[in-house]
Amino acid sequence: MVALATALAAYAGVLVAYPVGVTVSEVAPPVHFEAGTNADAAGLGGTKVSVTLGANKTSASVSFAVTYQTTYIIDPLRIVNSDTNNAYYAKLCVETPLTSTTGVLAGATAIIEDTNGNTVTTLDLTTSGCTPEFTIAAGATYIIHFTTTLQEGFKLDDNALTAQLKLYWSPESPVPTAP
Amino acid sequence: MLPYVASGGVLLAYPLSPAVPEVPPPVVLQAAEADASLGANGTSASVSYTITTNYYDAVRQGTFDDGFGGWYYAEYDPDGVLYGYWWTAGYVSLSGRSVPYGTGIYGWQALIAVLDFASYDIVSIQLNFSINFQRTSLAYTDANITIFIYNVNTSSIEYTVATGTIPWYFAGSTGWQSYSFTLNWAPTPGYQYLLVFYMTVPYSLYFWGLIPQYDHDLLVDNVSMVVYTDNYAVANLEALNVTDYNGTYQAILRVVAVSGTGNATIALATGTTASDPIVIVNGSVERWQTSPVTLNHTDPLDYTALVLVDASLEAGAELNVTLEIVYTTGATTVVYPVNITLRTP
Repeated sequence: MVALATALAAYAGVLVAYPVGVTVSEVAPPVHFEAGTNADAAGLGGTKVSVTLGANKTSASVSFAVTYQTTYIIDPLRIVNSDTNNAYYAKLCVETPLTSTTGVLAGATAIIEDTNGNTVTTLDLTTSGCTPEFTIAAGATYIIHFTTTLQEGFKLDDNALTAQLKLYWSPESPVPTAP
Repeated sequence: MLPYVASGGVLLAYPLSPAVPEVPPPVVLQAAEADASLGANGTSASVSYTITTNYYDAVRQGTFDDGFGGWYYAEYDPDGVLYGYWWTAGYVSLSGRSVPYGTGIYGWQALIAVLDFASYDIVSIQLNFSINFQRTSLAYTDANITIFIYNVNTSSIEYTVATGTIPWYFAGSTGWQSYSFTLNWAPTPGYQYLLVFYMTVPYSLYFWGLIPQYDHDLLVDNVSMVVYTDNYAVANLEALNVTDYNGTYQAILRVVAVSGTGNATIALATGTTASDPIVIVNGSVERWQTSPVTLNHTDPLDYTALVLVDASLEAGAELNVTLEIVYTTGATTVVYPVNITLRTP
């Protein structure tokens, strides 16, 4: 016992520090947003389909006017994988859905297509949730379209509807969602 | 605490923020000749029409009151003396100037209508029109005016309705002259036909510079080709108006579904352009959508498009067509549902 106490007393008050080297390489994001062919093109009634990208194309905002019945917004925005050697895995998620205060909004969707017109995945913008995971092939470009349906007989909302989406992507599958 | 990841260690998250302002519909549906039940905001329509006649007019916009959609102009102007045509609310005119004899080759002008045959169970055809020829001075030779039917598929004149001459010594105005001809001719199904008003433009009578070049006008109005049939038939029925209040769009009609029996063509026509039609034969769709027309809210001839229906049904038949009107800027496309029901007594 005395030997144990002596031994323990020998360690008390001792600090050991092991150095750990961390190297952080900053790289251009291989997956990023790009403006689509109809970014800043004419919209309804003298408006424009407006697209604004962040300085490094890792964020985007899109604005487009819609009206009664079904409106399609074609190719305002794209997802590009500029890495021609590696594929990545992604999900598009609604964190804050589109919500109408008048009940006019009957539906809204984001549609992701490849450049051959094949649908990759779709996302209901009126409820929180994510698409199934999809692969962004090496060097691929995906097109994001939007659709809305407004019901006749309901008043239009006074203010623009807004939503918050997140594009999650990772070099490995499955793509987690941040806690 | 570092973020948890299930595997690997890399997760990136990019925000995307859509903003969606809602605007009043820039294009609105309105009732026309047929009974129409419109949606609360003019973006849907259900149209019905009972065909009670056994004749129809194969010429579109023959009065030229609302424009000249479905009519075209052609010319041979070898000396570039500015032949042309002009439209006013009420008639169309071929206009031009002669060249002096000996200085070149005289030319010709033509006013052309695309003929719509709603059915081919034809009993008889009557062509009616009014013309007024005006010239400011003498010509070197007679001018020739010929009205004929041209077969587009065979590239040939299939039937000459009438021909006449304006004597070389005529200067002045004939005034409006009206004509009516019963045609000894009938169209063949599957062929496209044109009605042509053709006029030669002779040299001026150039005599030592004392006889000047002349200016001429051939005014045309009240053109109709009345086709009498065995079955109930209607042509150029204005089923709906499609009015553009804000912006410029390309618009089409396309079929979603058809039920019942009968023949019909459904087209869009503005004051300047008539589309290729949807074609339904014996209740089956042969062409599913029209060609596009331009809606332009700033152009008085192109801010409204008519939904024009030709149809032929047997007694007691009903034909129901579910359609969509689609208009687009290219970046933004809007789709309105429309239903058209045609009946007979």
